[in-house]
Amino acid sequence: MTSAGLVVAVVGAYLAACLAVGTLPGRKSSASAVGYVAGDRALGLVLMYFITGATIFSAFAFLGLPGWAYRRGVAALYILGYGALGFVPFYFLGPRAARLGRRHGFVTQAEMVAHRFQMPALAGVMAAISTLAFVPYLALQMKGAGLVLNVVTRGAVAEWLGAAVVYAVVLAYVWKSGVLGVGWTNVFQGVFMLALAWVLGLWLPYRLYGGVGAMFERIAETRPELLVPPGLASGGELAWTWGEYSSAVIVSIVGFSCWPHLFMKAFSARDARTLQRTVVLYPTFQVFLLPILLIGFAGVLFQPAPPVPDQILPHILMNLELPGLVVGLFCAGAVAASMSSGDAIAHASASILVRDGWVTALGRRLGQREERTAIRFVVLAVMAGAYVLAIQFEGTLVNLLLYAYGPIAQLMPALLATLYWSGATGPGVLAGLVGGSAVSVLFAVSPELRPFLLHEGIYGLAANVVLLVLVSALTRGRPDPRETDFMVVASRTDPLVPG
Amino acid sequence: MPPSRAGPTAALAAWCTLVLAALVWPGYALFGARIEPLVLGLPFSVFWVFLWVVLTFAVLCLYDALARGSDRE
Repeated sequence: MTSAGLVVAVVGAYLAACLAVGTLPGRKSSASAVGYVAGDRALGLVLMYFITGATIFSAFAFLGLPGWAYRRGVAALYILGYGALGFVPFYFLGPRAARLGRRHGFVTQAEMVAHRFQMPALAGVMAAISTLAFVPYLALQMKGAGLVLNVVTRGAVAEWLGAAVVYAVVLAYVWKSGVLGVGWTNVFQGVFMLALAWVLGLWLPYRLYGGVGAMFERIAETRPELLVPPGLASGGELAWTWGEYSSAVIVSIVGFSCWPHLFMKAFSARDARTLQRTVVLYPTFQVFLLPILLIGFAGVLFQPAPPVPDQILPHILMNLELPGLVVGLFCAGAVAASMSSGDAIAHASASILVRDGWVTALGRRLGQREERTAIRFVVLAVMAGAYVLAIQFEGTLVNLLLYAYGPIAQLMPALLATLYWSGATGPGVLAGLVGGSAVSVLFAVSPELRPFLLHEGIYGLAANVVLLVLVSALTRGRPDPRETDFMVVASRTDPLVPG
Repeated sequence: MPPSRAGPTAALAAWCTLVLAALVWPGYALFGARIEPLVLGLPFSVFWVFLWVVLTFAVLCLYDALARGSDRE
């Protein structure tokens, strides 16, 4: 029988360790915004690897992904598939952005885009898109943490209380240490998650079926439709279409590097080599999704079925009558997945609101220390807002997030044009961003309007590229010397020498 | 971009195109869409995706070594 007390003790010990790991590095970075947001551009490979890896593995990976595999079978593989290529563009974009960041003092991608085109409004639009995507994303992380604590303590810890305690710890280390707090806790959380995922992913099929192969043989006999790609549609009954599977993979590959909390880490890395090595090593983190998928498949033939697919993992664990220590460790792993994404999102959205919104778009100058203080208070405000959203709005949150995903992919044409295409103009980029996001949101809200069954982001990207090229051609004037200088720095080919 | 680096980069672009075709329609539908045989205990459809992730990791390592070599002047 699971003792709720032991579970709470294990999670409490884990949270105390996070707090210690996260608050110690604060002294090492400068008191400026560059120190707080980008770690003084001095992060090495270990921090970069875990920041980029652990950030992506959110509460969704630990709870949502097994739910997908359980309900929709191999449809869940699209996440493993897009990860193979999703980070590759960053191998090339990252060092270019980093060089420009050193030259001009950028710490966010929107500052870079706005500077190239001398158009502060672009930073405002990009900040708005990012924030609209981030707040529901953060709220979902909080809900995930609250939910898992609630389920494994059999209701002893209320969802609002669990989420509040976990995110008070996140607030403490993000407040104190900025990106270094995010980075060092992500190292700790990443190792913890990886270990737990492999142990649980291999052990559960063994315990329930006698092995991974035996498990899939049983599933192939009773539910073969789950194992034939592209798996099942969101209802969990009809087959998914190849068009929707393929376009979901493609939009995710395009959008992956654009996530602002990921892209802005280009400005944190020590040098171009560190960025490139981070990209090369990324698939080793991606492989960690495989055991998570195995956990979901382990639930397929498990009786009794869980009330909600997303609860398949805690559901199995609670029904196996495991010792409290094991359940506590699992719970800490799920909380780690939530925190390692939530901290980066809170930190990035506050940095973006202050740097891109207040300073760049609205033109309010702040001193170095003032800027750090402002970002800290905005971290607090963003987390409070997301917390209220997590507690108040139950059903619509996931939908909000789905709407937000399409617009994020729309940042890619803007970034490519900024770093590679000297013919692009500010109005062109702006038209592409706004038009692409509008089309993407329209088809996300009204999917029945799509001419073909493809991911809404594909239509957004098509509109985006057409508008970018057309409006750029119409508005092109004499090149600004500052813009020419920008492109020279961007295209310099020596990644070994920091610009 | 110096010519010594253009070769590996073109090869990487070709590889990425191949991987994409293998992971979505039509490659996945034609070659990966079956349950048998089980490899490493995984259905072939799962192993197929896993295989391309691992191969891409190897190719990226190789590209990084080659492109890095051509940056030393």
